[in-house]
Amino acid sequence: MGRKFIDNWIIQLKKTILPLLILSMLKQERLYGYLLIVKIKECTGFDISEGTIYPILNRLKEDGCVNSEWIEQKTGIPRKYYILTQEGEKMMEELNTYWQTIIQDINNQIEYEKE
Amino acid sequence: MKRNDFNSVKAYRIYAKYIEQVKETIARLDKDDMQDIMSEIDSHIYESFISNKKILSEEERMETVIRHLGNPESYLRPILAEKQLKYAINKYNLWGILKGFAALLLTGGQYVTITILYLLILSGGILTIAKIFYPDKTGLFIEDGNFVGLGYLSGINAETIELLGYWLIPISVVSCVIFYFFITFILKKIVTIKTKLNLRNRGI
Repeated sequence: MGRKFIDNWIIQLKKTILPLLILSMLKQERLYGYLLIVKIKECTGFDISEGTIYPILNRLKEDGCVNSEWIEQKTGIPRKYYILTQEGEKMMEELNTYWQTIIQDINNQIEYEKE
Repeated sequence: MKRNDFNSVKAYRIYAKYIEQVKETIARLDKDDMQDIMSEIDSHIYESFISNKKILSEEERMETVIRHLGNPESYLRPILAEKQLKYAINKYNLWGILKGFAALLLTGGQYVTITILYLLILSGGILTIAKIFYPDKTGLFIEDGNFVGLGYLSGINAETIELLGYWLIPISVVSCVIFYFFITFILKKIVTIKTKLNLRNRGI
């Protein structure tokens, strides 16, 4: 019961934070889907499935937070790069501010409990 | 990807079969969206396929890539629902809009759908109480052999006949119980499938 709750909680937390993570990575550089998954895994250890990342990218695109561009490759298989828009940057900053506030508040609460 | 990109015929067949599945799944989208999704999946498969090149055989690599991607219907469902809703809104197609909303509810809001179904059970309870307090105005009504209504009717003509009488109460109660167990069974199935998918995705 306890383990199941913790596992579900971790999954939900990762899902919640994923759009912020994607936007912050796209702020640094434009990325294509596969590379985004690899980079997220490298940076955070999150093992994200394709079925999770592409619907989020599509949602962010529909909301105008990212644009996409097909770039031809020598291999003959083009890559679809995602680029952060100004709207996306604003959204990322807002999400980040809220995220930092929550972390701070929770940390304060946990520290208070310890005392 | 093309046949030339593969040394193994088996690996190519696995790839081609999967691509065919994707095509079938997105067949209802317009040409540009179809092309965009196909190309992105193709690109993803290629990028995944060329990684781990030294470790696994082509066939094993392709199987791993496809397994990781999963059933196209599962991961494309939210994208399809959104695109179809967008088309319907652009064309002022009411039926399409309703279908799109229904699809979106099914993709992200199984629990919303289930909640609405549960609320429907309440209506059975309300019907039972109404029958006790307003027996003449509550029931299954017909007029000249045609269905008029089921429930509470305020304006009843002399020609309107109520068919069930007090049988409405046990029928409502039994229907509610059956409906309740049916919905709960569906909810349990959804939770089981979701848990299995979460475990399979090892994290997300």
